Amino acid sequence: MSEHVLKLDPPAFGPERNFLPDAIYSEDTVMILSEGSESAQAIADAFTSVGASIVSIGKDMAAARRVSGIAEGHGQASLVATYRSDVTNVFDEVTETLGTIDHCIIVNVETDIATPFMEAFAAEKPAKGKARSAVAVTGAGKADAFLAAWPGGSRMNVVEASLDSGKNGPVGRAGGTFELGWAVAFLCSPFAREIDGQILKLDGGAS
Amino acid sequence: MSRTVPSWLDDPVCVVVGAGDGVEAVAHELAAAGATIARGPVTDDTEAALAAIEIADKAAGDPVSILVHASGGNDVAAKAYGEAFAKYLDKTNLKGNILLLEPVGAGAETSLASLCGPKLRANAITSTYVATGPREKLRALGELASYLASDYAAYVCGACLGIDRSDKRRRA
Repeated sequence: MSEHVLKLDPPAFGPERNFLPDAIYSEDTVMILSEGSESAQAIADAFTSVGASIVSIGKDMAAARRVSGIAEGHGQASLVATYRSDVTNVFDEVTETLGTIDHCIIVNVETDIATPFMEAFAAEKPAKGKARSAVAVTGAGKADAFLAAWPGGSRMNVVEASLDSGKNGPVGRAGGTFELGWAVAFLCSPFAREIDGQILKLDGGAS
Repeated sequence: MSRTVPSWLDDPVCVVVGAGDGVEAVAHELAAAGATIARGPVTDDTEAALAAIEIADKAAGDPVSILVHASGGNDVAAKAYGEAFAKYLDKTNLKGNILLLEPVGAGAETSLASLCGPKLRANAITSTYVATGPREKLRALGELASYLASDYAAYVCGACLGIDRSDKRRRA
């Protein structure tokens, strides 16, 4: 297990068994656009712990590697690039090494940065029989912009996450990054394959 | 792929109130996820609702921690079962969660605001599929309900979701 996995907060409560069945994403490649935050690492952990390969696109290579390191910690394949990378080249390299991208996850990245990657994902021909999905994790009030900008090609949902604000809400505590990971992994899973165009507010009921 | 959700629930007792294909799909998936299902009558009387919860508690031999309520758009949940469940949780000193299943536009958000509290996590699914719909949509309804009822969604409170874009998208 890599140092990146050990950096994540372990669940302090809840069932000890796995959230999703082992290997449910073992044939899937997940692209994560992020600044390498702990939230992005937790999302990578939620996918790679059940078999996914990761394409980590970061604001720089260090940010990208913080997320790809989670995949390596789970023994899963990964590939890194930055926001400034040529999108066509990135997708070509992914296709050669990992296959087509099945899920597009955008973690607190502005729409103008994410749009070229979203458009390339939407234009890609999906692998036969595989369900594709996208999830954007945003701050409060930014969900509609992502749903409006989504070019199609798969279902798309948004998680408006505020992990600190729950202390002031009915839940009475901050949210864990692992809870954000579970929410995103659920929305991409076969158990949510009909859910599309929805906004999940993850704020502990504070708003 | 498995036809049902994983064992997301740790054998809770769940009272299901209301009727419709979507309600049945939710009850089915919650049972598959590990819940013991009891039924309660639709009522706007708090004492009758409390009695239904206590009967389920006694019959199952375990406390009730999940309440699924479909009012058919009449929104009696906050008035009757919501108050009853809050009373029950106070009495038993337990935490619980309530899931409202409502048609689109039934005002579930207003109910959620009055239901959410330190002991009660409240969320809603507002969808045309609560009444009926294609099998895959009904299954999706049940799977979403199972996730929202589970400890994996313990930080999700006050959320109001639909199933697809035909359900007018709601801020959750």
